[in-house]
Amino acid sequence: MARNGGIGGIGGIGGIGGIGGIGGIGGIGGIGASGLGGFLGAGAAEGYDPILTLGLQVSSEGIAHIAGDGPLQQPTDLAQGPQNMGRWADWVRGSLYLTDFLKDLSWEPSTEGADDIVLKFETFEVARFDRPSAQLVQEQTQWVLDYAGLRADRTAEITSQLGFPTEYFASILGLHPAQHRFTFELITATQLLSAHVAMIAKHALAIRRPDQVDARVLPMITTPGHGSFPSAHATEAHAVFALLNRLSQEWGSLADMDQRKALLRKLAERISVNRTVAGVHYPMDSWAGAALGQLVAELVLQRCGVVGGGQAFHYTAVDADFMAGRFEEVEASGEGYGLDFRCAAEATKTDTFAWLWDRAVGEAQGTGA
Amino acid sequence: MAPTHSNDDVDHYMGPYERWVFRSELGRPFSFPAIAKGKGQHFTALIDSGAHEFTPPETLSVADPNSGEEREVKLRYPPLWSSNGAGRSITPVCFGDPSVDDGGLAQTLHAVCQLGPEEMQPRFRVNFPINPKAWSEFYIPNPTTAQWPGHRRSEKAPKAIIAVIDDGIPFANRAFLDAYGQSKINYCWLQSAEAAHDISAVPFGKEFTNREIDALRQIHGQDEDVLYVDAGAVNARLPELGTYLSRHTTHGAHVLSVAAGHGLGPRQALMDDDVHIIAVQLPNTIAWDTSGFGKEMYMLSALHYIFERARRICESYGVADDALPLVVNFSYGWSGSRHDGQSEMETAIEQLFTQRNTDANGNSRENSFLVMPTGNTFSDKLHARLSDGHFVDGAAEISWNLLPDDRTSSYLEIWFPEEVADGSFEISITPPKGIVLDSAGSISLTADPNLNEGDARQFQNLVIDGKIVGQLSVDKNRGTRWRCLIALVPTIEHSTGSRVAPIGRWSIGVAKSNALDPLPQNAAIELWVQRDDDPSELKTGGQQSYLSHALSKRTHLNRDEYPNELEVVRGYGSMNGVANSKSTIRVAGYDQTTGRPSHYSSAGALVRIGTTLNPTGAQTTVCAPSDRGPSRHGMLGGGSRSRSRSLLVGTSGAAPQVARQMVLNLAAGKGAFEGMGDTLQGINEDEQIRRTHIKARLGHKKLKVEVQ
Repeated sequence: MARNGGIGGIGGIGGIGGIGGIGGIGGIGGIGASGLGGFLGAGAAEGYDPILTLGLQVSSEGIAHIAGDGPLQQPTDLAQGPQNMGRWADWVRGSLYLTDFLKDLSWEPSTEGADDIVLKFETFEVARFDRPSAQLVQEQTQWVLDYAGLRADRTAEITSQLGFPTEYFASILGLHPAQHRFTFELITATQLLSAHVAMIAKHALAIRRPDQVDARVLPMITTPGHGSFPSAHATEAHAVFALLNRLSQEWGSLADMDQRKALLRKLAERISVNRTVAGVHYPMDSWAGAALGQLVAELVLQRCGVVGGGQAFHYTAVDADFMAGRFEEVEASGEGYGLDFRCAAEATKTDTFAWLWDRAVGEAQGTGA
Repeated sequence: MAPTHSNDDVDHYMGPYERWVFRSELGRPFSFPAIAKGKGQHFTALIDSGAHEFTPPETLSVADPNSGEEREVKLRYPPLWSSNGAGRSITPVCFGDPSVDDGGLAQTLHAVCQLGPEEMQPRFRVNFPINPKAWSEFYIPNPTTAQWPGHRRSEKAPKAIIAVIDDGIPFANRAFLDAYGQSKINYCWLQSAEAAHDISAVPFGKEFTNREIDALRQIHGQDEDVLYVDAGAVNARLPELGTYLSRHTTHGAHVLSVAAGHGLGPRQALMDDDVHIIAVQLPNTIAWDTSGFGKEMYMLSALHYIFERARRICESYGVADDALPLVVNFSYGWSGSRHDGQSEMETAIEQLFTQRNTDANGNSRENSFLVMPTGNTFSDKLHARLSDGHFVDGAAEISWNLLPDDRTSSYLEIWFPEEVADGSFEISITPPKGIVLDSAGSISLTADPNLNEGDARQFQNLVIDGKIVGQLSVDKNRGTRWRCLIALVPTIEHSTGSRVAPIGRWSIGVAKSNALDPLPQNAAIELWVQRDDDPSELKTGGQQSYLSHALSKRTHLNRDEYPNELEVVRGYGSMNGVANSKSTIRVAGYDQTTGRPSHYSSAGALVRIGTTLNPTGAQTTVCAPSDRGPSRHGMLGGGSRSRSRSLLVGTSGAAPQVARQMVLNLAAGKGAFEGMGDTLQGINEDEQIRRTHIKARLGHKKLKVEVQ
């Protein structure tokens, strides 16, 4: 009976399978199979299969007598603080980054009943989106139809960029998991935060997807189950661009950094535009996402204790196509295409992020590393 | 005010393709979007003045017969080239007329017909309309260098010029820079781009000189995406331009890179700096129309433009008498047409190249070449040849097979020998089994006396259950050769209840009015189905119809055997319908691994005279690889963005390899074909029939290039 009861206990150990459940949070985020779930799962101990569990139980009963019957040991205390970050499983650190960031994020309409959303970080207003009008959505749908001609060209990219397209960024900087574990962690944390921030704005503004506007859009991929504006893909991609741009500057080891920076920016544009090609996003979603992405990256960087140059902004969408070159011009000049950059964004350094940044900086890549 | 000309009046001025494509109750709803969607105000046309001297006027006075009012329509000509006073039979023209609806167009066309002396009565063909945004506001036809500076002189003077006419031209690609980082593309004309808002040296579209290309590259750095958008080369709202150049590769990108670009890999040669470039981009969606209709004015304007700009280049480097060698690659064509070199386009081509190949003293020289592909229809059963032996009791029958899900019109051309008398044949058409026309479709080679302007011709509509599904017509093309054209609507509904043609085997009958009359010696009745596929993925939705005949048993036309007698439906004679001018260099494609013709590579016609097969008509000149191997289709080239690659299957990719070798030879002062091998090398002299086959398919010269 005891043995059978023990087996029941093994079922309890199966509770470790709850990690998989946390992976399920990734599902709620809608971020996709290759993103959050995989990140959180990484570094977690696997749930044991029943035979192994049974084996361990039998084995322990078989060998435990050899350890004797002495008194229990008293532990030494673990020092508390960021030095423990490295002890925790990846998914635990992921949870810490998320909570560390989101606890200081708040949002509300600019005034009661207003048709917009204001995002605040700590106490500062960092982003404001006016809700695009139905007429603007109508006009922007034409761009979606215009871009459909490129679908055959870009099918492989579009279908392999459904989740976080980290591999595309990695190829530009020559990153490898064996050498850039914490760089990847920083990228993933930034993508994750970008997605959450984008969801807040999407939920508040509730803009219909192109396929709900016009029958001819006929998207080539599943239309995601959230609002269109801003684009989370554009937010994530532009955040990763700004982050890697700053990180590789810190590395100071890439002789051809100018070219790589240009490629990172171009890639962020391409990932964003691919979503318009696919038929699930308007160009204005990319504008909004690009602005939001550079902001999230800046907030993350300042949490890490460095300044990147990202800015707070107000975006009132206009009917325009999205292009990296145009966005860069607006970033430099301060306004254009409905986008108004206001002032440098600010956030306070925290130990959690600074710990991660230090490790990513230590993974300098390139011939000068 | 009610229109004074009805729709029917357009018939008075139009050939069979124009009538089909322009009339809404016929083929218009299924046509090129610019035509299908509405009425244009700016039209293109070719004026065919035949052998007569003709000075085209600047304005037309168009009378409205009802009101008696006259309005002035300004005619525009693209940059035209001519050698000292030599004549021109075909003149490209365009006109803008705000009152052009169908009725107004008929009035304008009537006025064109009255041009010149009475004995001349020019013919014309109306072509595709021009998007109003592409119509230049301030066009100066022949600007002086003070009015318009033209190109910048390069560090290295040209020894030869390569020109390319194609779609999707990536003019800012780094493959076309010289050693000093400056563009070798002296001139580039995008015919369907939005016009510049200041003075322009082209009548429509937008022109870029090397000055402007360099400036654009300067402004936009390396970002070619933004460059093309800001330059107006990518514009989704102009249907004839679209986002085609945003694709990874385009037909034109591949062809231009192979003809004139630096290679991508270490084994690929750099292009010499002393070969300068001129490029013309046709409307990108020109492949939409599956007939020969509509493109010729753009094509001929491109050739004149190239010749005129080449002259400006010559002059700026102090070269007199158009003496710089010029090789034009034009990888384009269609399957129909006369195939005797006497179409409007081919007549114009021959005149232009003959004139430039004649020096100021009247001596002939070899410095100008037009390189075109033979086509890709050898195996497609688009061609048939009926000779006397195929007539039983004076009648022959052949089948035209329509496929399901064809969203474009299908066209079949039947050409009669020049010698046949009016009224000597009757053509009939019967729908697939179980379906009948409301009134029998049959027509004889006679003129409708009511259509007294232009070529002798006659039209009939084909009607099933009260709906027009086709047009049966005959016309004496350019006054010299009878043609029967059959046009059918798509086989799938465009919108609920729209007209469709039944799929399956349509029977075409050709009957002699006197069963005992033989065809002229060695002559035959030739059939060509127009190309109806979608090579550039423009989403036309075309499905290729094809011919079959009771005595044609082959399921595959391309087999490794060399019979002494050909079946009725055949690949020989599938030659590109625009490439039959005497001086055109016709390039076929072969498989680089096996050395055999690519299965699709079109060929010159062979006809049995006595006991042997003999070539007849325009033949293949030269061949170049168009496939790397039996399982590695196509050849590599450059894509639209700098450093991107492209794969192209077809003779379109073979032609520019030949053009490149020719222009390099000419720049080096060598003969144009130097270094090219003998196609028949290794084939025994006693294998005469095989040699005849191989020569018709691959020509007599073979360009060998390193295996990719």
